[in-house]
Amino acid sequence: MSRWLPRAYLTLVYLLLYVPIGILVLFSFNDSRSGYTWGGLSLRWYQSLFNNNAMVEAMWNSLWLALSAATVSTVIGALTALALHRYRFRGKKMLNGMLFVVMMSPEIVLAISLLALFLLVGIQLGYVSLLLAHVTFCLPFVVITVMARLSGFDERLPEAARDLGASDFTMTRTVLIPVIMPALLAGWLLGFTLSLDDVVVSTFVSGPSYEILPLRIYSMVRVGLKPEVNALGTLLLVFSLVMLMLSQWILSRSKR
Amino acid sequence: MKSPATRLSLILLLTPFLLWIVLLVILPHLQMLRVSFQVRESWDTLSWGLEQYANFFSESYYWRTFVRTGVMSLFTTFLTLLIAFPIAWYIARLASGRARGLLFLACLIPFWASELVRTYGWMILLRESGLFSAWLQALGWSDGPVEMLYNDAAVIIGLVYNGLLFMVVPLVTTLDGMEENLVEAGYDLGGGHLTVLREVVVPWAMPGIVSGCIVVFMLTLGSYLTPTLMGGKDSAWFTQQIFTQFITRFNWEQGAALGALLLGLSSLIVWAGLKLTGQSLRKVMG
Repeated sequence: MSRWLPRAYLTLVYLLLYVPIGILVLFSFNDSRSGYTWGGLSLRWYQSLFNNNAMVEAMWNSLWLALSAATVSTVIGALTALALHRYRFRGKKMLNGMLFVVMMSPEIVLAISLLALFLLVGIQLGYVSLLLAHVTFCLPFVVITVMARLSGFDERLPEAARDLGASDFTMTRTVLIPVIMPALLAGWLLGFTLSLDDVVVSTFVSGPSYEILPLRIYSMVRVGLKPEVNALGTLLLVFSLVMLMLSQWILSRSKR
Repeated sequence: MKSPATRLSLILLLTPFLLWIVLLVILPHLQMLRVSFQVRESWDTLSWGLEQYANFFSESYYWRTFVRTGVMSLFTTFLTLLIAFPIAWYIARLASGRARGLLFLACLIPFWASELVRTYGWMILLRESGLFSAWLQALGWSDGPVEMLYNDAAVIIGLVYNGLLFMVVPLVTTLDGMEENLVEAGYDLGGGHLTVLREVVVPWAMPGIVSGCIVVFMLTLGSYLTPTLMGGKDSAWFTQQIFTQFITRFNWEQGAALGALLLGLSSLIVWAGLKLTGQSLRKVMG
């Protein structure tokens, strides 16, 4: 087989992978309103974003929501991963399976089932309903990240700690936590990004009292493509990229 | 065997998770099922019945959209497999050392952007006043602006783009474990490129192919943003009907029934796919 054909194919596919995102970032700095001509470098779309009070408030709401959803799911996820790793009990396989089912099932089904429940129980749609919903879809990802880390964990370490006279609490603090710390951080960053990026579930369970950024972008995109959206999309993109790169970096560094 | 202390710590560790799974996963789904069997006879009387499910089969608009969504999702999955296979082959078998890691990472990065941002990126390119339309005019291939957005082809482009990574990763993992001797043996026995691909490579990569196809199919069937933003008036997606029933028409009973059907039918299709290819879910999901 000739060598250039696979390379040409690969180049084409990778180009198509990056063109949509690249153009989005490039045109967010475009001084012109047009979608295809270059009017010079400018930050005017970013300026108009930050001058928009409602937008800035939605940004803060989103960040606060992502922060709390990631923290809650990391705490629960860490406890769960430890339980699934350390103990054998009936129904363990089923719980493991449930994690995958929740991850794979269509978002919109999760969204309507949660909405139906919130209204039945009388939870007002706003920060609390959003937090519960976001924890729901973040948790499986955090549990799996932490479990992957624990599966490479040398079982003799906690035993050695106990033989040396450490109590369960001391062992957890000095051996277990340092070992799973990178996975906890990585899981937290992943949860943060998932929460920050979510549109579908949030559309159903958010109320008018708590506006968040992705929903604002979504409604702007539906009405018509404005240059401000390029700037917003770029901001969201940079945020996700930084968070996930950090998460990958922490994980790969800790492997050595 | 278990001491009370281990039992206690297991319970303590697991309680938050069990609360989560019961209160936020199982209970809501049961409530959704319950709502789907409620029939509203007048504004204040409810009875039990299968009316919403009967509607799905009797009103052609519902089941036609479902069949359309299913067929387009299958096509998208197949197309994603065709595009992803050579990439995975290159990464797993032709590239080496540094290039390999870099290619894999380069494939990963676009997927760190959210679905909304990725879809929006394609919208800027494909719309009437977008870049592709401008290029076509500059090249003299078109006299006026061309609208490439809001049709089925655009939806499929968006969906393939969204699914690509989830196909590449499992394929790279399985192809990675394949020994070079196996392929060489195929050629030594007189097989051509196609025969070796069909008889040696594909059977070996089957677990990866099935697992990639399941994930991409489920993602595509359940996706809402991409078909809504990139599709036209006639390109209805099944998830949009659920949205319409719930949010626009306030017909929760019907929306819940459609949601239950989406969950049930998609699981059925995945199960049938596994049976047909002779794979088990446990093996496929690693």
